[in-house]
Amino acid sequence: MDLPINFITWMLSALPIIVLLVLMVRFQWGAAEATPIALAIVFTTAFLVFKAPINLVALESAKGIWNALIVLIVIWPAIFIYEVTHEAGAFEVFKNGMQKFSPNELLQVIAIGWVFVSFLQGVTGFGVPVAVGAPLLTGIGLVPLWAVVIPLLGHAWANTFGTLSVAWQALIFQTGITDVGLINSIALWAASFLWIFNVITGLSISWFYGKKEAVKKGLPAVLIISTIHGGGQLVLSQINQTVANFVMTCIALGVIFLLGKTKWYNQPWSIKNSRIMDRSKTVTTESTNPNEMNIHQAFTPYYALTLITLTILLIQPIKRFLGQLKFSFSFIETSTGYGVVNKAVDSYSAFSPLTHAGVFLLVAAFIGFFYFRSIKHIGKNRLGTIFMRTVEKTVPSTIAVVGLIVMSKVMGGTGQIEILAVGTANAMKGSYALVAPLVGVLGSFMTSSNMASNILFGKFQMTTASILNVPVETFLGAQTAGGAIGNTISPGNVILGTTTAGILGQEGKVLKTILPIAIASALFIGVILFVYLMIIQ
Amino acid sequence: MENKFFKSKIGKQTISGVTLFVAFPFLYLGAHQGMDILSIIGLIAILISMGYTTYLGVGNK
Repeated sequence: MDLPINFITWMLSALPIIVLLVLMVRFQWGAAEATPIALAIVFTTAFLVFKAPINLVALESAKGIWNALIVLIVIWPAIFIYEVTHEAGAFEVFKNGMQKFSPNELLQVIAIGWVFVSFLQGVTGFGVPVAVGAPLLTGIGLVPLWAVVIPLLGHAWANTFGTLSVAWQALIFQTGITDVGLINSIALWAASFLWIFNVITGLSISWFYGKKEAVKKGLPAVLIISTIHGGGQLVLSQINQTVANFVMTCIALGVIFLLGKTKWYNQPWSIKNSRIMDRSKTVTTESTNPNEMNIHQAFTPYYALTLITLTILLIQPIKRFLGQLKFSFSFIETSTGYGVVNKAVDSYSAFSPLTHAGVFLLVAAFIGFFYFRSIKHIGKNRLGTIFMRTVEKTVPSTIAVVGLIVMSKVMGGTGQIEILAVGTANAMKGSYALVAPLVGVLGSFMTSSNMASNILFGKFQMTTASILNVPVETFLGAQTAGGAIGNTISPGNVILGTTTAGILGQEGKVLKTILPIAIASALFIGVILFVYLMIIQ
Repeated sequence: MENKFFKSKIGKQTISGVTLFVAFPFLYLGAHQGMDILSIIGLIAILISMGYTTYLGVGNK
């Protein structure tokens, strides 16, 4: 491979990302409007600069559409479950019900925006925490923008070891490491970095709610939950990485309910002028009286979702049986004029519908629909209306998600993402540790997936560590932690939240809020890594 | 009712969205069968349908 890695090719590779961010953050374009411009740039540079033949761009685009479909199969039912819950007037019930859990408004926000979404990431992933968390937060009275920002931040730390550890497994598989001691060492570094980010998110959520006063009030909860989340995951990662996140997010979910009964949080407490709360908000219902429903009834679709997910994913015989139904495409090998090869695959990104989070959401939504109808909280002949509202919300996000994933596939397939990573490493040389997590962030930003980021850059980080003669576990830990952080700003995830929170098109505002935290968190981890490497060397 | 839907912004966006998925067989078959013309049709379909989305969202503001 003789891929030219210089300032010009680096800039041309970065151009679509820069244009995307500028259009969204500076000009406040929605992702659906900004993505086509970035995609057009990617197609142009692929042909004119990176010597990509038509069949390569076509096949990478086809892979992108296929990958996007798998993501969209989560988004569509996630919106549907939201519309069913909204139609039944259940969000008003959540709001009232949360008062019984704890009259402390900050703890309510922490419970849903951090603890519950982390639990969802532990079991499902694929954007479900953001898609489900955002409307629940608007339901308890958050301003929609913050209802998107908070679960995006709240769930991200759980990306590496969540979803039963798929991103972690991808990292280990991709690097080909089999030494158990080294694997545990990588897990130790990864879990340590993720703990740091977990503390940052807990404190950030409190800060957003009411700055210093809220941080002070929320500190006991943040410390206790973070010790369980981050500390517990760190300990378990040395025993069993697959369930390290799941077990701890389940425990945290139980503990947050207990915290609501303690003296810290069992009294009414709120900050009147909190910028994240919309005090005038009332949830309008179209056909029912929400006061007749209790919170457990209102939570029916989400209970169903949790039960279905746990049953299918944790009981291996059921998972294996349902997982037999798979769909995938084979792809031939393609290569660019610079020798970037995309190897042939017999079964590309196999889709197992019966074990896919999207199907769990769809089934849960229908269970919710029929249950709400049986208790007369959804009127007759409302399914069509709910369906149409779902379509209206999902179409723009569908276009954006397809565009973003096609863009990332073509960039990856033509070597542009490699140029960005290798070019950065070459420029930074001995200081590369500072930006090692940012490479992970880049991967997730482009692909909306910690797993994909690890697949893209796992090997690269390992090679860079060897060249710089630093312990490989440090860079791999930073890679996957960066990949987890990158999920907070990946446009695909942001769209999930803006769609379910009803603020589609405001992705730029969300990015503008989260971007500084994500970059600062990744850099902070980079600084820790850099200082550590300076000391040991 | 159908006409009304397809004349609305969401109706037009739906056509764009569907076009993206219609492009898939053109891209896939074009590359696998060595028929570049099919791949080109698929890529142009993606660009036009996505460009139309930008027009609907930004051009109409």
